[in-house]
Amino acid sequence: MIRCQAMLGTFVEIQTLDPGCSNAQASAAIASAFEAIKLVETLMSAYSATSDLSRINAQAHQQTITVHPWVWEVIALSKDLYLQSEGLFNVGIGHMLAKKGLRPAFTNHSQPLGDITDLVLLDTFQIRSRKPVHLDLGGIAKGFAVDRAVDALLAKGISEGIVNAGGDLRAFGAKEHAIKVRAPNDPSRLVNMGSLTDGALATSANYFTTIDKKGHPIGHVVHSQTQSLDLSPASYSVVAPLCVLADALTKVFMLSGNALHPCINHYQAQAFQVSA
Amino acid sequence: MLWKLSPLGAVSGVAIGAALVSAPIQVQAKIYVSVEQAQQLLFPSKTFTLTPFVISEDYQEQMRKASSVRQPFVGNRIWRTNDGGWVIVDQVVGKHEMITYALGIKVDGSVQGIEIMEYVESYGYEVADMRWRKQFEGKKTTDTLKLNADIQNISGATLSCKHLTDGVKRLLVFHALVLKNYSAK
Repeated sequence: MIRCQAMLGTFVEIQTLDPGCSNAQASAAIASAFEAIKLVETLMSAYSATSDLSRINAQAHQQTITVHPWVWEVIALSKDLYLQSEGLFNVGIGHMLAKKGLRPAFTNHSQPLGDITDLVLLDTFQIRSRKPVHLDLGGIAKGFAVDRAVDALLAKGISEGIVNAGGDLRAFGAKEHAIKVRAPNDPSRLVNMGSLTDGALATSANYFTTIDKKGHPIGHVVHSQTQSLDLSPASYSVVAPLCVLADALTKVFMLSGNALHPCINHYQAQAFQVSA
Repeated sequence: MLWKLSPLGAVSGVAIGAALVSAPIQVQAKIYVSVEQAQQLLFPSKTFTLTPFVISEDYQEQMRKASSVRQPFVGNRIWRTNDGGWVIVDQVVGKHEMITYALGIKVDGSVQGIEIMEYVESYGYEVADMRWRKQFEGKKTTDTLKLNADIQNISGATLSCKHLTDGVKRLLVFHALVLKNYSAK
C-alpha cells in the first residue's frame, strides 16, 4: 500500500512492502506514521508561534522551557552536529532566514543572539538558554520526521517499507531499493545512484530555486559564517543509517564542498555530489 | 545500512557528472489511491452519493478570484456522505506537475482531510496541455504498477505544495457558495 500526503512543505509518500501484511494492517500503520510526521511538523514548525521551537526562541533565555522529548532529541543532536562539523551545521540561523524573507519572524531579540552551544539541555526534557536564540530546524526536522514515521511503521509490525519526504527518504527491511538523484541542471533527468538496503538518502541542491523580484535567485541553504545563500549548481547527497543524519549532513557537505569531511565519516555516512 | 553504487562500484565521495549516468525521462506518474480508497480514508465507514454540479460562469469567476487557480473547476466528481460531509476530487496543475487529490469537507465546512491520489510530473512540455492530460484519463488502479515502475526512490528537492493549497482554497469557496446550501432530496 502506498499513500501520499502534503506535509512538511512537500509531498510525503509512505509505502509498505510486506508481502504478508493485510490491507487493514498496512492502512493503520501508514495512518500512524503520518500522525508521527504531523506531530514533528507541529512541534518544530517555524511557521507557528506556538510550536516548541518558537517557544524556545521566544523564552528559553528567560525561563526553562519544557519541550516534547523529540524536540529535546533533535536539539541535542543539532548541538552534536554543530560541534562535529565545526559550526557548519548550524540551527542558530533563524534570524538570517527571517531577514531574507524565507521564514516569518515571531521573535526579534534586541540583545546579541547566542547559538546552539548556549543551550543547556536539562533532564526531563527541559531546555534553558544562556542567551536569546533564534533557531530554525529546517535543515534537520524533515529527516527526523522520516525516522519517526519509520519507527511508527515498525511499531505496527511492518517490516519492509519506504518513507520519502520530498526526496529525503529511508528504506527499511531486507529489500534492496534502486535509488536515483535528480540532475541538478535538469530535474527531469535522473542519475542512477545504485541501490540502498535499510538506510537513508537525502539531497540538497538549488534546482527549484525561485527568483526574487529583482531577478536574483534565492537559495535555501544559508552559510552561517558568511551569511550568504549557497547557489552552487551541483547537488549534494548523503547516504546514512538514519534519515535525520542524511538530511543534516547534506548541509555539511554542501557548505564544506568536502565529501570526506570528518563529520560525515563520524556519523557512518557517505557523501556524493552530482555536478551540473 | 548497505549502499551499492553500481555500475561504478562502491566509492565514497565521488563527484558524478550527471551526463555520464543519467537516464532521460519525460513523464513520471504515480497513482497512490483510488477514489473509493480516498473516500474511506477521509470518512471511514460512511456511504457516498455521487452529486455532480454544473458550475456557472459567475461561480467559476468567484472561485478564480479567491484562489488564483486559473483552470475552471469541473464539478463531476463530488460525493455527499450520509451525514452531510463532502468528498471532492479535483486536479491542480502547476508548471511541471499535475496533482489529483480528494478533499474531505465536514458538515460544518471545515477540512476533514486531503488525500493525494495521483501525481504526474513532466518536463519539456506543459502539463496544462490538454492532449497530454488526456492520456492519463480513465486509467485504473490496475495500471498502477506499470506507471509506478522504475520511478520510485528519487532524492532531490521536489516541488512545493503551493498549488495544492490554492486548489483546496478554491474548493472551500465552492463549498461556501454551493455545497453549504445543498439539501438532499
